[in-house]
Formats: sequence, C-alpha cells, structure tokens
Amino acid sequence: MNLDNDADLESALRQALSRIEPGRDFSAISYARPRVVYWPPSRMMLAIAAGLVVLLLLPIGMLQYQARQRRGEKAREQLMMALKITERKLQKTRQMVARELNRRNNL
Amino acid sequence: MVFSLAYHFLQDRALAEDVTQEVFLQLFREQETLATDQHVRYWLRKVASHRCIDAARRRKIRPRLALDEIREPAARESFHDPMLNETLRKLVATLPEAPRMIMVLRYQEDMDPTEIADAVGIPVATVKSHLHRSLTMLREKMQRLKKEIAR
Repeated sequence: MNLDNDADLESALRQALSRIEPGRDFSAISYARPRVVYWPPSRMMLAIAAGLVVLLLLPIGMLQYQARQRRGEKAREQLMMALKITERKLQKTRQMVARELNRRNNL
Repeated sequence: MVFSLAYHFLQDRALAEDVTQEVFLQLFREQETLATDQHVRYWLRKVASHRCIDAARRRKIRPRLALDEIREPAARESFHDPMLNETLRKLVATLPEAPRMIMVLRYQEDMDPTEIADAVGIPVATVKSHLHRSLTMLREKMQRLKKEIAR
C-alpha cells in the first residue's frame, strides 16, 4: 500500500485504530467494582453527616439543658421565698389569735 | 467504543480500563439526564475524550517513541498488515494530547470535524488543522521508515 496517498493513509489509520474490546474479565469487574467504589463514599458521607449533626446538636442540647436547669433553680428559690413569707404570716396570725384568746380568758 | 477510544489514546490497557470504568460510573450517575441512545453515544464520546486527556495529563508522560523503537513495517504492506497497524498506532501515540484525541475520534469513531470539535471543545478550524498536520507528520514518518528499510 502506498501511504503517500491520503485515502490509503486514512484507510490504514481506520484499520489501525479500529475498535478493540476490553479484556474478558473487564465487564465482570466493572459490574462488581462500582458497588465497591460507589457505596463506601456514600456510607462515609452518611457517617460524616451524622457526626456533624451530632456535633451540632450536642452543644445546642447542652445549652438548652443548662438554661432549663437555671430556670428551675430560680423557680425553686422563688417558691421557697413564697413559703417563708406565708409561714411568717401564719405565725403572726397564730400569735394574734393566741393573744386574743388569752385576753378573753382573762376577762 | 469507550475502552477502545481510551486504549488507542493512552496505549495503556489498565489505564484505559480505569478510564472506561470512570466514564460508565459517571454515566450510571447521570443516566437520568440522558434521554436517547444518540444522546448517550454523544455523551460517552465527549466524556471519554475529556477523561482520557485528563488521565494522560495525570500520567504526565506522552509516549515519545524514537523511530528506532518502532518496528519496521513489512516491505510490502497489505491492507490488514498487523505490523503496519502497530506502527501507525505507535506513531499516533507520539502525537500531543489534542491531535491524538482528534485522530482517534476521526479514525476510530468516524466522526466528522464538526462532531469532534463539539466533543473535544475546540474550534472546527483547529480540528481540521490538527488533522492535516497529524496526517502530514504521519506520512513523513512513514516515508522516513521506508527509507531506513530501503538502506
């Protein structure tokens, strides 16, 4: 063949660069490998996402817990104060009643 | 088609298989966006071309074969001469990335310059000029080989 001729060179190139098939095992490997290649990053992504969610939620949860605890302590203090006031008022009333009874008995 | 394109371009079976797998993996992920067979073929050629060029750049070596390294073609070449085929393949492999991909798309896939320009993402005029220069270069190298054989 005289490759000085354009058509011959092109034919020879078509022949040389004609399609070839991959190895016999390639299809089997290709069908098997995507699952291996595709899923681990996906699982890893899920694990990372879950980790990030936990990292974000943990401090928020802690802050909420602390705020609730502070509110509870304040309410307890207010309740104790209210009980003390009520106790004092009851004592005063009791003393007044006792004094009044004594006065009546003396008469 | 994809493997063959990658193999002719990269001249490395393992790398060509990796590229083929990457291309089909991407196809698997993007299959919903591809409506017709024609679109899939067009997409495969385009993505394979780009992946091959990327792989060649990553590999960072371009086969630069000396003429001595290429086996001499038979003195009387027949149309299906395996020696001639191998020589041509090796000569094509010495081309820089863009012209090499253009040659593979032109002579393996039988794509016209407009289709090649679209797939590779370069102007049609550049494709034509690469084709012309590559053919001239191949012809010159083949002539030099012939002269060496004749000596």
